[in-house]
Amino acid sequence: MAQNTSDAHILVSMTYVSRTNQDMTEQQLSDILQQARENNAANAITGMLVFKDNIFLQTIEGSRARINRLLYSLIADTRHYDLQVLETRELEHREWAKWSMNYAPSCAENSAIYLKYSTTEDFNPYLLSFESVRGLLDELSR
Amino acid sequence: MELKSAELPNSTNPTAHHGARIILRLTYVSRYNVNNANIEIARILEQAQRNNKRDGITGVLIINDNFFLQSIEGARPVINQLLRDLVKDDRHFALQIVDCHEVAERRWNQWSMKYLMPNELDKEQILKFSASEEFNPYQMSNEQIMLFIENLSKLEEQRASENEPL
Repeated sequence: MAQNTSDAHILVSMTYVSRTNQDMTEQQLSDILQQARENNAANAITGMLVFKDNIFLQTIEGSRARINRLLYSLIADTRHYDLQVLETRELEHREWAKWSMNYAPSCAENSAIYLKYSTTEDFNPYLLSFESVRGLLDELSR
Repeated sequence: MELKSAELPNSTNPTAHHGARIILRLTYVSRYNVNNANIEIARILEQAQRNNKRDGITGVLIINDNFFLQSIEGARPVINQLLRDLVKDDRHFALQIVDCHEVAERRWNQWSMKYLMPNELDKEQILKFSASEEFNPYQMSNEQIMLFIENLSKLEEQRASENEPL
């Protein structure tokens, strides 16, 4: 499996957006987050997650093989759909090394940050270039 | 080429055209499924070229006995629809995205799918970008993969022009 493949040395980051199939309760979201943190810790994956208006925006970092195995699971996961990879690249170092999954909850104060990178105050990373998404993630994590 | 991303089959979502102004280049490697008798390169290629032309996708495909190495370019939602289909395609497995980023211009705009098959002559190219003579894109970094594709493509164009009648 991945831990034995010869490309285990290559560190990559992948950023994607996806939509939930139905409105999510706080409990469901917290379960997803908990599960992601456990799986990520077991696979040396780190990252950052934003969830708002039924849209997930996530960056995951780890070995190329493991990140791509996670991509397979994500595509097969029926809790969300319309998954779009915005960027994948090799890394010199992780950007979210301290977190198995950092989470930015949606709150009113963040509207100014959405507006900074968007034409409206809405959170819609499907419309944004990766450069804007990156700035958005960075500011939301502060 | 006419882009009709909103009318793609399997696209159940009316907002799928979001981000369609962005050109995305996605490069991946995958392994042949040798147990699948369905592998017929000519047919795969013909099908890819037809679908890509319809969807405004351009790209290059490198095939050898074990691996696929492909770089595809197109509108962001269209490339991602293709990615979801590729992940479910049982003619290959262990697909790994090695790079995916926005580009200002396409590299393979002249081809709905340029096709390259490394031969004996290209051993040198493989060695140039690998630790061994064995072609295994899983061991190569993204930079090595991109340089390898670029060099192989130039060599092929050079050979094609040498063979043209005067």
